[in-house]
Amino acid sequence: MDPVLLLKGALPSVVAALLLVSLLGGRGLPLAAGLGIYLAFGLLKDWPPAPHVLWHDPNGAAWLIWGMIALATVATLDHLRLLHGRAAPTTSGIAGVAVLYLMLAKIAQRWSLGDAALHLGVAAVVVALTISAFRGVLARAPRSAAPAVLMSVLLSLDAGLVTLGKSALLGQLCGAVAAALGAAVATTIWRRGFSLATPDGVWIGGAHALFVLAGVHLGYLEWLPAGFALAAPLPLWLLRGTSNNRPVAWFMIAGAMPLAMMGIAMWLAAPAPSPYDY
Amino acid sequence: MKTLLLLPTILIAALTPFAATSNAPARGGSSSSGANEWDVDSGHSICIFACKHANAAWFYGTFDRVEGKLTLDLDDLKASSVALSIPVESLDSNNGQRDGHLKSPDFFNAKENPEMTFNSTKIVKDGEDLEVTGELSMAGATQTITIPVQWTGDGEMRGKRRGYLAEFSVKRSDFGMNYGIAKKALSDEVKLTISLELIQAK
Repeated sequence: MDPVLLLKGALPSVVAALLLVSLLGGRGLPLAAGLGIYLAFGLLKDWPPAPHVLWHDPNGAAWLIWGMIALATVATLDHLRLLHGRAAPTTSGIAGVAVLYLMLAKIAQRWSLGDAALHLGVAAVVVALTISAFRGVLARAPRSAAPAVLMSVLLSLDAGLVTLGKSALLGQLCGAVAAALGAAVATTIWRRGFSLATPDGVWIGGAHALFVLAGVHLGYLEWLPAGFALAAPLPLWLLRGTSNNRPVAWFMIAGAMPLAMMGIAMWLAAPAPSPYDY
Repeated sequence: MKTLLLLPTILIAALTPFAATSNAPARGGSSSSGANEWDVDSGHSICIFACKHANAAWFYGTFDRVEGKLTLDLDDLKASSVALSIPVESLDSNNGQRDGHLKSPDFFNAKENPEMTFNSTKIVKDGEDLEVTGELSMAGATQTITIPVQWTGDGEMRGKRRGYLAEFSVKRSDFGMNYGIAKKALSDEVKLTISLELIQAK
């Protein structure tokens, strides 16, 4: 992999996360991830067209960028306690499904009504459930950097999986989100402890589900590895109670099943060895 | 006697250019008159692309299917038009993994943009050949380009047939396909060769 391309993908997120988390604390992380992925897309491909342009001339990858910014905005509003009661989870779920719809809008035009209902329906349930699951997991996770480390590893594996699905661009964009999380953890070196909170479930869970689905629908990722990847965070949901005193143990227990499932997904997606490199 | 022997030789030599001319395809402009509707014979048409790898050598691939319709009135080119479409899924670069990558959002974004299309806006004669200006769309972007088109011949096999050859280059960055350009892994310039066999529509 070209190191310059890797830097173009990851560096904006890293810089944005270091700056915004240092200044604003964990509340600044969603915005850093949104800003980072926007800059990464611009540096790697083109600046994404504005939403009103995309509405008339859709592009799934560009909608995914704006979608991640929208999910980051929802998370920030939630961090700032501007979404009360059921508004936070409801808005998070609706936002995730809306991003999915916009991302697949162009492809869906060529689907039959039945296929569109099936693909969009199943994917919408997956996105809404994933966001809900990540919010639940983060609500119960220890207040330490361990959950952020786990989520960063999970999204890095997503990035690798989507790249195996033939799209380096989508892989790098997913890697940009993972890089923001990793950089946020690094801020613990010079400031008080960093931890994720419930609102972060919307953009982290959204990134996980949406990038894997983008890998299938926009790229050439097969459904079987994608299914393992989409199901990978589900064991996290089964974890009950917090383990504030033992974040490392939490990481080991919480991470074992999801990371194993992601490993299977990547093994399934890996191409057969070929003597002919391209 | 010598004169008698020389006479046939001189006659043959003198007639040879005319014979050669009559065997050669007639000029595109005069081989037909009046409006003609033509379909692309996909089985005998192809689009070949070439892209430079690692700034070293050109590697070649094909789009195995070329579809389209042409209206050709060589006496009134304003009444003529060219509409071609090439399914991106027909891409074959002799490497399955590379084919998948080329079809992905890094390049053609084939799931969202399954076809490359060309629709003419202006056709002019250039001697015996044509210059076709039109809108080339691929990967969700459209550019106006002018393509020199060489007429390659007329024939007859299960209907009237006509051949054209177009060789031109495009910059893939003009269509948002930037992957690998900065490091010169793959060249920005892509050479395209389109060979069309047309069959007169019935």
